[in-house]
Amino acid sequence: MRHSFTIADRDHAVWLARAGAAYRLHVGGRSMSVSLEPAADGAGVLQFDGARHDVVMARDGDVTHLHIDGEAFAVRYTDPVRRHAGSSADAAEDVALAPMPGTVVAVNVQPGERVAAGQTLVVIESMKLETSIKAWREGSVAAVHVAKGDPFERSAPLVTLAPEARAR
Amino acid sequence: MTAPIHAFRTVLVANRGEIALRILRTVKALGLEGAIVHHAIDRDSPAVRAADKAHEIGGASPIAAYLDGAQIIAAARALGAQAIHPGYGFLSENAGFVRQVAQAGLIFVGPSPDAIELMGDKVRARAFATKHGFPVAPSAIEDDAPRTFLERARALGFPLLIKPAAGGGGKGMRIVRDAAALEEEIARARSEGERYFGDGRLYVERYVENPRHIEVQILGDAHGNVVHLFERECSVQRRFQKIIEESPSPALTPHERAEIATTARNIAKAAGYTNAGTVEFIYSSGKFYFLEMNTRLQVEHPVTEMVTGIDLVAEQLRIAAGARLSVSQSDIISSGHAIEARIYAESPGRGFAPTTGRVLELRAPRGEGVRFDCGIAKGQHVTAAFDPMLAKLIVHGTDREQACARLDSALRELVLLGCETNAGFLRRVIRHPAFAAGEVHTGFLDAHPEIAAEPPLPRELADKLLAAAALSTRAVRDAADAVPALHAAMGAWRN
Amino acid sequence: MRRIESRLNTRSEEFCSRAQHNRRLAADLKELQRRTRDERPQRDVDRLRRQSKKPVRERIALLLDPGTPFLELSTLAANMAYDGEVPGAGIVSGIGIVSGREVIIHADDASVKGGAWYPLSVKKIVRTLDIAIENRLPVVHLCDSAGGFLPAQADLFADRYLAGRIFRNQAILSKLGVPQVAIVLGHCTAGGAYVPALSEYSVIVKGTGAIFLGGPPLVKAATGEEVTVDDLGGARVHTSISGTADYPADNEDHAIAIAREIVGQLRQAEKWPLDWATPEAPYYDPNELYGVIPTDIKQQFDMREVIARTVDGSRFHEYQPAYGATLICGFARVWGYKVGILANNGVIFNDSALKGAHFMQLCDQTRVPMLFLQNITGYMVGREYEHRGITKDGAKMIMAVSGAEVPKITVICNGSFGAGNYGMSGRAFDPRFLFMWPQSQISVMGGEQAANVLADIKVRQLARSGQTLSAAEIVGIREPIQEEYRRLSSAYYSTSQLWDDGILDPVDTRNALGMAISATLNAPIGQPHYGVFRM
Repeated sequence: MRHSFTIADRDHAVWLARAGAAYRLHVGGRSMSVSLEPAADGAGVLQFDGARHDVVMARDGDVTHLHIDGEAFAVRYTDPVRRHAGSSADAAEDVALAPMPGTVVAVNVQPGERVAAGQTLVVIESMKLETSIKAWREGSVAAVHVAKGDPFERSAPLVTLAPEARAR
Repeated sequence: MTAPIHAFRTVLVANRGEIALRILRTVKALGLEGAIVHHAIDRDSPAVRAADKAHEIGGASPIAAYLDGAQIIAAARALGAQAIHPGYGFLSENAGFVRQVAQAGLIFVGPSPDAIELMGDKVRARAFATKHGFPVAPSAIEDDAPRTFLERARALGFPLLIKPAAGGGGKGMRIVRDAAALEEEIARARSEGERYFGDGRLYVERYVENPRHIEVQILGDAHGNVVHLFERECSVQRRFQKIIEESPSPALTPHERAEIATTARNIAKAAGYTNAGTVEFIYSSGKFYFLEMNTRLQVEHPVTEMVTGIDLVAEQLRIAAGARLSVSQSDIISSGHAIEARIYAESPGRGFAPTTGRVLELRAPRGEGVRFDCGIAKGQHVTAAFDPMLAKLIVHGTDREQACARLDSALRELVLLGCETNAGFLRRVIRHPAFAAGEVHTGFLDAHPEIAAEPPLPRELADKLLAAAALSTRAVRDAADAVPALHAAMGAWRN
Repeated sequence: MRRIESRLNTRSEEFCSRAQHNRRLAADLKELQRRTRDERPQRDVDRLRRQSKKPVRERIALLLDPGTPFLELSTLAANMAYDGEVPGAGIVSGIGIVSGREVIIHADDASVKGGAWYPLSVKKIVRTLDIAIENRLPVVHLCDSAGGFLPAQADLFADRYLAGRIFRNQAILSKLGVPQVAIVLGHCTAGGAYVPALSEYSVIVKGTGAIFLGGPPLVKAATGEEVTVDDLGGARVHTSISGTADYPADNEDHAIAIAREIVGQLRQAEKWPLDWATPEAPYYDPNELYGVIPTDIKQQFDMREVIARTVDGSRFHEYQPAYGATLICGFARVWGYKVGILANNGVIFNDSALKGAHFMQLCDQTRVPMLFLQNITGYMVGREYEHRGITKDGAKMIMAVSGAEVPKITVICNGSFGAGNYGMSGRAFDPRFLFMWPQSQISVMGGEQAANVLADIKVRQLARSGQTLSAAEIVGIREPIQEEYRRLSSAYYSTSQLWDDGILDPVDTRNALGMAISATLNAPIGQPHYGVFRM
């Protein structure tokens, strides 16, 4: 099973293998010899099939931030167990996630409240525009994760609806 | 009208980010003491570190803190400041605040509250311009007769642009192309106006398709001197927000250039305007209309500084101190070409959605004619709490071509890791043939959606990124190192 | 160690015709392997897709570390049984690297009769677990089996080495501290239910994985209770109610990722510190092996040419080069590992038998694994040799080969006939691994000779009952006997019956040996001790 990396929402499956003192990177059906010599303060030299490239790098958890050839990129590593966990399970479909970073303008519901499909749960503001986060199904509010005025990041949980018994 | 001659030793900067830092730079260069207010979230920001004194302010949200005039005036007293520079945004165009500053015996580095009120009310400003015979676009103003507002709006014909009467900076503006959507859009614009400006009044104006946005920098002192510092073209915009600004405008003939600059100067004169201000016009096929006047230092002021060599903040402080302008109109010469690119924490490929993150690496571009006004530092968090502008990259060249080339290479050189920015997008803009030819208008990005779209990653570049990431991801390296040497050497052999 | 000086003339006509012949045999092998692995009736392929199940080899590919080798064992098991309808005996078995650990994999192939276990399937699983026990290899079970193939239950259920042995071996592995990870990707019914239950770790896929002693129809028949598969033994039941399985997984990839994580946290084995040097490719091209092996099994060839194309740098330290010349003994390295090689170079005489027994003790004493390269027609017969004690000298070899504590690996390169098979570590002598080359033959005596004997018996029987046979009639009797004998002594029959661990393309031998030796080093090696040698 290859490792999973994401660049700009695109998945890439790679494997790194030892090749003596250096490594080989396997991507798709290709492979190339690679190594990385870190220098001071985030700078480094990436050796890629014999060619040398100056890079500036920084790590933040599973994300490698990289400046190469005049552009910055973020490459995210996803642990395989997490990567392959299904979305169908109980968790994901009961939570409204923030579509983008922003701040909460209004919270219209309280935990325990019954909501109808289409009812506004919270109003968020982002990019100077208001967006209503609406109930995607009928149900009861299990938790409200934000309060008015709170800033939040992309994909932050906003409201959780109580799981409903699914028809078999 | 005699303005009192003030003098001050300590200037409080009531702002944050790059503009706070930029103002502090001049304050200190003039031998004055620089003070700053800040919300806790900005405690470690470069602006706070650069200030001689700092005072923490609070509020329901970080923005609320910077909008709390009473707290800021109290801070100015506590810090022993005699003047307050508001920067742009926040309280910079709040006449009520300006009056409170005056009542507290402090100096506001900016225009008079009357001028702010006149120009801040878009409706009044238009009426003023019309009255004095300056060109304005056809419009319908709600206040004139609220009951007939809708009808009058419809009568203008579509497309229309709805604007909040108290608005600015593109907030709450909406284009309506379909008569059926007018009512709903008006309701939305009103709600946004109320929330941003505490004022739901609107006006509607005939939307000029694909106009250029050209503005003129003005300085006026309390002694009746008003000068213009030529124009800036700010046509490349997304959602009414400027992204790239330059001077001179590649669109204007020398005659038009003189005409638009003089018109702006005359408007400022007619308004008895003091301190720095910007008169904005829309320009389309040889004609220009007065749009509005911004009664503050603009984000893009460095473009003017680069071509004229005049420090606008220094002039602002001089004017606020009651002194005369250091220059007369004939002294002001525009030389070469300057371009500014705004570095935003945003994802152009995802509809310019704001991005967040911690600044992990920051390396400013250097070189001849390069200026980098930046309000963030390594280690700082970029949050959604404020405007997503992180920095401005301004370059100067002997001509537009050289300026563009310098901007391109400076953008390449800029290293900002940890938070996605629009730097790559900016490079695509300036390398676009239409931009290179100077053929831009406010709908430029809508007309060329391919610029915003993230280009497909070339395979070799993707491979390099994956190589670097794989080599620096512990789990990946460990997995490689865990394979016994024999099996690693044998590779993917199968029998 | 010195490099072997090859005497092979690679431009000779003999070399070329041999090469052509053996390359064709290798191609035939590859083609049969391909069909065994990949060719399935469309309805079985469709059924798996409907069940969102991956083919077994995709599962294994996901399980293994990319870019690492997989030594598949007994690929062609059952190729000559059950009318060829149970390719690979419905089981995939092999040694590979999972999260950096050497493991052995047992995987049910649900595209073959729903993964049902045939008698040879059971034999293959038992053999897989025997390898795990002998070499202390952690096991990953990929479970997806409909259970025992009922019509053949008498041949797979009760005897000592039949189905029960699978579970006994699992328990022994556990007792030895060798961990097992089961991934339940389909049903584990009846006995099969014990595979995950007896594993230290088990992962079960929601929706498709299920474990139960009796499936819903059996439950209905036995007690009248109506219950769904999921409610009876699905992932939720076993991971949250019964505790029979440990980790619920959302899908097959997820399950495999979890299993990889489990294997990744197993203790890295401490291997036997065998003498090792940096590996070196053979100086002589292993592809020349095709030109070494004769087209006729009766033709002699110099086994040094095989050694030269298998061992590191083609270097070989020959022991007693001038004594017992029909058995070559000596030391070499394979993938850096030091081995003691015993290779037949003709019929075994008294001196070669003594040399062999002596060399085996030497290897055992110096803790060097032994590699047997068989091409043996047997021990020399006749009055002279019996008088010299050829039987007791052969017995010495058997005593030595049986009693040795160091790992033994056997490759049947050509013929393996008669008692020579025993003295040279045949299957009964527990070599850790035994491989065959495609053209090799294995039987109690040479094919032609045996067929003649059998035909003569038949002719004599007929003569006794008064029938006289024409020459043509005799040929008519002899030919089918010979044909059947050839079939039953072929490498394909051997591998069909799991008398070996698989047929190797000769050029793959070096890698297979490297992996095999590495695997053997996971087990401790006991102190040398023997039974009584008849002197």
